[in-house]
Amino acid sequence: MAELVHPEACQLATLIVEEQLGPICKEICALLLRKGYQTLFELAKTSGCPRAELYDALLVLTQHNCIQPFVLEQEEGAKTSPQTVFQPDLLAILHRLRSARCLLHIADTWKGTNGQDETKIAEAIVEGLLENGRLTSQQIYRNVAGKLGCAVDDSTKATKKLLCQLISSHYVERAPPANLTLPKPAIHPDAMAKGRGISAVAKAQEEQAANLRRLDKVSYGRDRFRIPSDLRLDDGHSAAESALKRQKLSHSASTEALDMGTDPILWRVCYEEFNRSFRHAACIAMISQARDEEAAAIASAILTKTRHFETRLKEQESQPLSAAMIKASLEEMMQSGEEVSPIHDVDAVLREIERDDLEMMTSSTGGPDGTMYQVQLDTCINLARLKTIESIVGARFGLLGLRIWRALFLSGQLEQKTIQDMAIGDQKDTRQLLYGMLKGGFMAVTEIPKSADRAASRTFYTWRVRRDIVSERIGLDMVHSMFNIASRLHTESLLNLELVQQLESGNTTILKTHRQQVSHLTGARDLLESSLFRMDELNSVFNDF
Amino acid sequence: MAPKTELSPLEERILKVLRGHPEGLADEDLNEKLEGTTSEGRVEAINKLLSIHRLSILQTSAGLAYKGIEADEALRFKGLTQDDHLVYQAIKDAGNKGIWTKELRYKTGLQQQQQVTKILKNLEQRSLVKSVKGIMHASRKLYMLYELQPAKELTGGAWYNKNNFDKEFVDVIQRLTYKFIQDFPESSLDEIVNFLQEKQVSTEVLDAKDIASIVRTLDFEGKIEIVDRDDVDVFRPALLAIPETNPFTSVPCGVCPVISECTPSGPISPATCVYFQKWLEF
Repeated sequence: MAELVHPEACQLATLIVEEQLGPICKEICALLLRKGYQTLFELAKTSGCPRAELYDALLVLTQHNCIQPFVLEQEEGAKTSPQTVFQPDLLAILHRLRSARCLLHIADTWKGTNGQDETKIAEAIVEGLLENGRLTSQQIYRNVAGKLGCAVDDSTKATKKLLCQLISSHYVERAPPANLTLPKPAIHPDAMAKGRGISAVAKAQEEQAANLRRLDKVSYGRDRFRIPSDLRLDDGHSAAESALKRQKLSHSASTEALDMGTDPILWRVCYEEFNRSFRHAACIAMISQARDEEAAAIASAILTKTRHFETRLKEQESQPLSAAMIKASLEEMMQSGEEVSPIHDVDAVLREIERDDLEMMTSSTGGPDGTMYQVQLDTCINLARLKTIESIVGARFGLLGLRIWRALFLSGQLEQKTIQDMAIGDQKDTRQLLYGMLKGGFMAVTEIPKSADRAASRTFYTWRVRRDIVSERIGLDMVHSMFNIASRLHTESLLNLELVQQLESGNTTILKTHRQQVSHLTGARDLLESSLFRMDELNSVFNDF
Repeated sequence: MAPKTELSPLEERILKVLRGHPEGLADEDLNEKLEGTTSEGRVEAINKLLSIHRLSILQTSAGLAYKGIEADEALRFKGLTQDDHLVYQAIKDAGNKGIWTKELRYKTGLQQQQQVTKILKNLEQRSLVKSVKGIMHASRKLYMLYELQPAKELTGGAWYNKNNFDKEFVDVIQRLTYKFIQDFPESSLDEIVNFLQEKQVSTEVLDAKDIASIVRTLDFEGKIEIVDRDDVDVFRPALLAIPETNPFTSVPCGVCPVISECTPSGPISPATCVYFQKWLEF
């Protein structure tokens, strides 16, 4: 969804910010989403907000990772102070809807490994970061102690250990510094100027900026999940390793000094890693549905073992693993207490995988370790999308509509008469459904004129389905639907604002007289919130994975 | 009643030879069988028989061929004018696909609709032609020879009953076919055809092509899969069925016909949506 800057997505983001951070933050956020990046001066001028409120709003938005500041470099000897540009992070705002899911995932991931207490600490760390946006390590210790109801000193050691584990697992990352190069603004292809090229000077400047961005990416990529020394030293095991490593790491002494106290490091939740885990879960769910639990368990073993080799979210396939390594991975998962379906005969399941018609898992021979197996992540996600699209077509247009859509999807470009014969439908119904699906964005029509005047009576009309376009359209409709649900939830709360306030204050006298209203409001909120939660899961398949 | 026109011996002989070849006889073969006759005599006899409609000429791949017409049948053409024959010939050329009056006027050059209507009425009374209605244009009458069966494109085939699409019949055949595939996974088309024919579900004979189209619709509904086993297509229940519902279709927006017109401040908005209202009423 990095390229998705659609009105519906911006509206949803604005609503989320209003609900969670207040109306002033909402105004500033909406302005930034509309205009792209803005300086402080531009924001003050266009928003009309008093300076103090503007500063506070920007601080809050930055704290909660809704915007990212970029300090622009100045030439040497410049008399004015360096300018800061603020850019909205649409994805980060939309991912705030996923907070509950992230917490559930942490509860499940840490459940069987280190005991119940450590699971609670890990949840508390992530919950604190989700609530507060960015925190230093000290702030994290205090936050966790507060949630657990114990003294800071009592829980610091365990918190530090879990924090290191979360950083190593990439669930927590360093917040990017403000001195990164401003990203290149995304320009719509149709907006590119035609004919006149850019000047040589502009070209050189752009090349220089691109080089700086590459350097920034490398340096931030290196530091993003690096555990600073203050987190490592207190742990005995880590201290011994650190002492040996300090000799090798002498070139990073200046960075170590920075870590110790000159600029406190701010930590935040890394949604990319959570999305990767959710993507894996979606693939495993598809394999479980198409085959069985045993195949899903093997897929889970492969993905767990090869997670570290994935360098980006949308990997096409996992790294290949041999049968022996798969068995070892399954063994490790069972010993760590993870819920894995027991497999009586792993080799038999692997042989079945070799014959998989759907190719969600594939095998290759010829390696030194024998047959290697890998999960085709892209295939699994595409299959999940296809089944969802077909389900939507069936629900919106009925069985005949589904037959027509799949006939076109499987057969390519067809005329109406041929579609009618293949789908065995009535002529009138077929035509009505074809135009209905055309309007809904589920198919396209091509004109093939027989004469130069393109007269309708002498033109062939052929129909076809473009899966990528349909997928994109469904993704947008999903975001639109999520905005509608969130908006309705907001409206229901506003309509019953007085009642909501009295509910929150616990006024029992009012509760008795407005029982029916309370019941309706509670039910409506539960239904809307649960629908939003489930919609976000499905939306991630189309827009994030 | 046999025409009273007397036939010469040569004419009788020609008809007798042609009776032995109901599919028609080429010109050369007819000449061989009429040994001892002169070419002028044969030409005169053939022309006479053509004029009294006891003979018709066919165009085959080998050239011209002659076909005899019985006396009773020839009586049906008695009294027909040249325009009547013109219309009849145009209808005959159209075969089992039929021809409608506008096209008839174009092909025959007869511009007067009343004239064409009168001729068609005359031909229908003589049981030479009949009118049928196709499924593509229900209001348009098509004319074809009386003895021909209309083409499948006109009648719609096995799935149409009196030019109306028989949805219930299609559903019944689909259900039976799907049940058979569920009970016997990886069954072939021949096995399904045999099963349905044994069941005798239809008074009309369903051929393999009709059953194949039913099986294909089950594939399009996502209920079955087609798998290649030794170069033969076999059918099995789908490994990955299409879910009936999902989180998107469970909310009103997922099945809303006007979602593209829905805006927060517009006449159709989430705050005022009637579908949301009904959904939240419980």
